[in-house]
Amino acid sequence: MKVRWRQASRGSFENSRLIVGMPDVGLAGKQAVDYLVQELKPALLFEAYSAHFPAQVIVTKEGLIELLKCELYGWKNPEGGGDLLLLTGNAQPLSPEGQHAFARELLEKAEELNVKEVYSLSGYLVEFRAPEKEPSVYAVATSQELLMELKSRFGLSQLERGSIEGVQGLIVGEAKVKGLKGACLLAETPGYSTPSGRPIVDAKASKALLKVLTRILKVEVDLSGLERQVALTEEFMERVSQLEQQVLERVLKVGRQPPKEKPYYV
Amino acid sequence: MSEPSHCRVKLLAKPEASLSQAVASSPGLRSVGWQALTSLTSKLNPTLTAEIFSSDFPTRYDTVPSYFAKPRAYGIGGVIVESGGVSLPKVKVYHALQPLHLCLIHGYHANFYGQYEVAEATVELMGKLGVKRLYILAGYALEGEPVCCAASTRKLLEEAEKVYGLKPGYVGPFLGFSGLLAGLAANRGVEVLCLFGKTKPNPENPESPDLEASEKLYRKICEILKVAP
Repeated sequence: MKVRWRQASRGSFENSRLIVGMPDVGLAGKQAVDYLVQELKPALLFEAYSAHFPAQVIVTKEGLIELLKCELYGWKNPEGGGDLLLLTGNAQPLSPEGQHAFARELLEKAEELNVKEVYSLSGYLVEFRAPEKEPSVYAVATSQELLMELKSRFGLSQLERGSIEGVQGLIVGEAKVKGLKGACLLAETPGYSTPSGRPIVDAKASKALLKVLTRILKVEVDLSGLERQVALTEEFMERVSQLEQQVLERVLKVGRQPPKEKPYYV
Repeated sequence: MSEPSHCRVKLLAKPEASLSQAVASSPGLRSVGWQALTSLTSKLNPTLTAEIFSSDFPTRYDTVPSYFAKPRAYGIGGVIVESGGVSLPKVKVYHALQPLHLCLIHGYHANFYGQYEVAEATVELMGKLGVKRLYILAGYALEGEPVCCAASTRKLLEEAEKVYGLKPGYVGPFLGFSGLLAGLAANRGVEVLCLFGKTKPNPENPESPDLEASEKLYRKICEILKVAP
């Protein structure tokens, strides 16, 4: 067992849908699931620790130390349309064997909680996204039927080829092996990070994911709480875009300058 | 998180009494914590209690700084040569019974795969020795107090401020052996207080000692333990 699961509470769930948001590019998927946890206030079921997480603890603003962990929450749907299992965390395993083990064990836990469908959320790295443009959301699915449904009913784009790294990809692959219905939804993000390498949350991509996901799940969630973060994302990306333009203009200007000396070897 | 064990714990001397407190450090930023622990060890002249060996202990890492090991950076195995002698890399655990019942832990950074296992083996040993409170010594490189702290509980943070004048000051990841020891011990209910001594990074030689910062940290841990520096 490469993952240690610590049970925080018990609950029974029916026709569950597992939603996975691990740290990803632009933190789009993680932020989306964190927002669902904030709004739906589900019960914490398990904490998961792994020796394949980065070897560090986090020191918080308050001065408290926290081991890296993932958390699995359960939410009973009052409308009776299928409950939710929500997986978020501040790390994902770094090694391939750690990621495979985590995905397998997570799905086993979800099966004990009557999971029927699996959706993972992630960012989709693009070189540039125009500030005024809504991020496109792509989908890959465990079956052609589901893919067609996601395209035709929810307007998602099909991801033609490539790979999806990390647990967010593996969990859907594992779902397919087990015969479960599943999809990975990916929102466009330029995936900016700070100069020290810390990823910057792309709340606009998170919101795009949640808009689609809540329709698929038929769960009502007020997304207005994300607006402030979306505004910050837009402001930041506008500044980066301006900086990129300035750098490009300087490079072109230098490129147009005539050489200082005539070549003597002609 | 139990994996096939690559760790061996060699017990050398059993303390005659339970050790309620422990102080730990490992090689790291400007050796601030490491030097402070070395000074404390010299002061107390403790007995070597146990050694922890791991097949994941390299003698040299490909990453800089060394305590930031990644899956693809396994480091280089071998033995440590000193004055013509050889020894395996190891975590060394000491005990002192005078003037207080104290455990001293000299950490060592495993490569990526061994970090959690070594820290867990150390926490296990601390439990057997009766450790209830753990002090971790390390360096930090931000503007702030000469020594700041982090703790496993709010109660301990309050105590640190009220009794020793320590405040939180560092926010972010705490890497390697010492960070994991803090987190895993805290998860087992041990009270953990981390003391960070302020230093300036030296990117060319990250572990080059900052003796002034170490001295301030050493004096603070002596004050907490009520040991004359």
